[in-house]
Amino acid sequence: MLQVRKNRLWKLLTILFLSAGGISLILFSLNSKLDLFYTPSEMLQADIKPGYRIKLGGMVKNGSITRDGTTIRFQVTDFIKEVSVTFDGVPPDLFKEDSGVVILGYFLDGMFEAEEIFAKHDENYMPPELSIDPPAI
Amino acid sequence: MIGEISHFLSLSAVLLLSLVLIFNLFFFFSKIHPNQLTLSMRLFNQACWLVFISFGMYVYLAISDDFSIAYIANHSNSQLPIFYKITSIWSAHEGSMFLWIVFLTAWSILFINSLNNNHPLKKFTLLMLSLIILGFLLFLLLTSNPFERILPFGAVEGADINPVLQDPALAIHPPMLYLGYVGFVISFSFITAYLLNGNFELQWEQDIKNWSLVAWIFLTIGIALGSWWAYYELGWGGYWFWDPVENVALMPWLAATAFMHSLFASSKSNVLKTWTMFLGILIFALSLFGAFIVRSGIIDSVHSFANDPERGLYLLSFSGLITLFALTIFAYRLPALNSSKLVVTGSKESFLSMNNILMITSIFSIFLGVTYPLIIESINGDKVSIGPPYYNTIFAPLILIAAIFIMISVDALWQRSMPLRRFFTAIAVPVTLSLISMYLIWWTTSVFSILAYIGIFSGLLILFRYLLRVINNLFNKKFINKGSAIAHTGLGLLFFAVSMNSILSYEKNLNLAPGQSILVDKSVQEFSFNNIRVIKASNHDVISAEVSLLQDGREISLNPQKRKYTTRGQITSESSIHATFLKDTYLTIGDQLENGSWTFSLKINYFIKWIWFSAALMVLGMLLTIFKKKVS
Amino acid sequence: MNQLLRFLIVLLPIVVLIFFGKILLVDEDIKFSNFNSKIFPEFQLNDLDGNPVQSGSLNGVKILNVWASWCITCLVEHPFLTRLSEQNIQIIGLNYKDSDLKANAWLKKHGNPYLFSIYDPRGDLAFDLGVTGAPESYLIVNNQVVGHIQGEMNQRKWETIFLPLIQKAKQGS
Repeated sequence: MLQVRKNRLWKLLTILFLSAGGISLILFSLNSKLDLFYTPSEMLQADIKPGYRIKLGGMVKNGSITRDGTTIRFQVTDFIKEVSVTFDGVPPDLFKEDSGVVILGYFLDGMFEAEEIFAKHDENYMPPELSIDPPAI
Repeated sequence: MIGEISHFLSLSAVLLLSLVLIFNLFFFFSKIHPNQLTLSMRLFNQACWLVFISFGMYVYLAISDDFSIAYIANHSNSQLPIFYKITSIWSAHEGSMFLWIVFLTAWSILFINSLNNNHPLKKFTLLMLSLIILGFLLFLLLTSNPFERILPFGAVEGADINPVLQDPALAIHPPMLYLGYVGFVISFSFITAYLLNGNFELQWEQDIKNWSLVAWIFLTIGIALGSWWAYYELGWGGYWFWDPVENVALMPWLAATAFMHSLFASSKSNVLKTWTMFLGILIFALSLFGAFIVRSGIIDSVHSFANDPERGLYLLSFSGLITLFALTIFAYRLPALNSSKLVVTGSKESFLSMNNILMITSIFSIFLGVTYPLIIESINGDKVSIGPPYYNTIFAPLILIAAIFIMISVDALWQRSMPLRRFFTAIAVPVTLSLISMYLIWWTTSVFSILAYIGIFSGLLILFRYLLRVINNLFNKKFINKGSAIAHTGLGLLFFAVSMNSILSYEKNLNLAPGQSILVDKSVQEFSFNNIRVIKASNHDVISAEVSLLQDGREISLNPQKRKYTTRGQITSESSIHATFLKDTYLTIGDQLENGSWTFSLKINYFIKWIWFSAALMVLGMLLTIFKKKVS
Repeated sequence: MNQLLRFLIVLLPIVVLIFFGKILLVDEDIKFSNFNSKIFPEFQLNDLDGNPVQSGSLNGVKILNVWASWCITCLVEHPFLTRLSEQNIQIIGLNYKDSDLKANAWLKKHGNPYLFSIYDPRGDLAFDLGVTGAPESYLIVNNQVVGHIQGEMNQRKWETIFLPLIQKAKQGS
């Protein structure tokens, strides 16, 4: 009986130890690896540290897309503030002016360097933040 | 007219199923009526057939372009090929829910009729299945009615489904996935029936084993198809994004995998029974949770169905209630369950037991990743997203542990501890070979990433272990469990290929005018943009670029395109992929610049074919397991 | 130990349920991917009188109603639209795949509830909007499409779909 008890104790301790390790890893990862989402106004207001990767969501401003070789420059707006963005590469199909977009990247020296551009599988994508409350009359 | 009949049939099914439930509840507290079960079965079967016919009619409505049905008007178009008119049915919420229910009904009718009438669990299983189907039918008809009409005259033409969805792989992906998801209603219902019934001397594993294994195959294929489609259609060169919708499909899959392994153990000996039961309930609960997440609109993801809170509430309540019901009965019966606590250390059962814990941990990590943004937003309003960095960090150690378990436990014995000498020889060789291989990989590629190397190491451990085992057993004419060997080799291959892909793949962005040619790198010596043309097809216009590459001494042609669909004016890119054994050359065309030149994105993705192959191996392994001759 | 486990097994799903239930029922901040509004497509068309449609005409709160003289259902919804226009709701017509002669004749015969109608004989603007047929109505607020009704507009649809969105827009000011 005592042997069984002892085995159980070992088992319990191992589980606790592994759980503690596991939970720490999870919490650490959750907190250090999450991407904060901002609209242009929110981002300009907040104090973003340069090395921080964030998500920026809004509408691609009409007429703002320019292409220079493989680099694309455009403005993202939430109808209150605008942010200039630069991206190198081929954007997804649904990326166009007057359309919603979410970009992942870094904000440095007044310019947002996009690593990735996202668009939904639906031509009516707009980040929810901008779609529920229509602009006031 | 047909729309009305179809609608009516579904409503009748609701009525019949309600009758089944009421009838049995009424008799629950009194002496069981002699014909109760037969009558209930008859009602149930009829209800199922009504659902099938109703759906069949709905398919007819779609094929015959009945645009007075709002859903069909919104998602189909008279110009679509018949195949896509049919598949447009499950391209959005209402129709796909209908399909879900059809599959739920199909699994249920097959399983319940496979049980002998004097099977002690038949009645309770029937009640559970009736309840679940009824709940979903009511959900469909009350909140997500696919039969709604545009009155009084209907639409002139259909709105066409999103052209991104007009694709064979994507058309088959939901049916496969749903077949997998809902297939586990059987284990859910049967186990709950077992717990309700209360006779724990009964053996139950055999009755649901093959059903669950088949459902696992569908789920695996469904997930793999979705991943494959995302790879060649989205133009990003990626195949898994840890998107919430993907994650909620992965969680049931992990639970199902754990369940199967646990089932093997608990059907052989008397251990792990409670684990297996819990897992059997968990799988379907996670499927329901997945349906809720995707359809409630609560998590914004790149491919959730747009929806309203009312549907979310219904789904949440219904799923929550039946899950709670099952788990409460489970918790209540736990003390009485005859599960042996004597698991010998170092036996196969002990490894399977630890594997269950590992799987639960993985599921929990994903669950946390999916809900964390909601939790944070609830607390302080910040919007955050959890993406690949989190999941990669969490899963690297998890797959390493899994690989170590697999490596050690291959030789483990049932109910006995593994001899220590065997233990060391079993792991010494694979570990050494893996370390050497890793060094070689580092030496040839000069790329290093700690997470990726953990993945590579894990994959190699499994691959070498099985290689060793197969050689050993062939030599000594010992028995090999082929299904298990093939499936696990597939898993090892997956770990390896995914990790190698992550460190070796790269991308180049190019800008050329037609007729121009450039040198890209050591591998792609020449990239020639030969020609660009405009072509007209049935429901779209095509801009087609002809490119030839001189890659590793071989000449290959690529033909990336941009398509403009007539109905919605939507533009999509069709990437051109040249897939070889070792790598995929993946070319996407971008936009035309003012000077007439075009941008291109050239991606070199390594080991992609190995990823698809590993999924095929896992399915093959499972098929062998299902169909192997029963050794008495 | 076992008791704790049993308790947890039941408690965990309850916690999950309450958490998600709370979000669905209570939390205003968590936005749902509902009908996602988009900017009204650009167009260069004339109205039924032959005059070019001004760019500022979609400011404020407007209903855009897709109609045609060949559309029978449009006749069915016409009285309701007339009532709305009498209550000072501003409705702009989108005359879809029609002949301007027939369209004007239709308006003369049945009455004109529209501020004006955009003449879209080829369906170009309709195509950009995603129109599936007539009648169809869109709610436009400051050049953004925020609502959509398929089929004829009636009291029930007006109250359940457009009215709440209009009130929300008015609240924002």
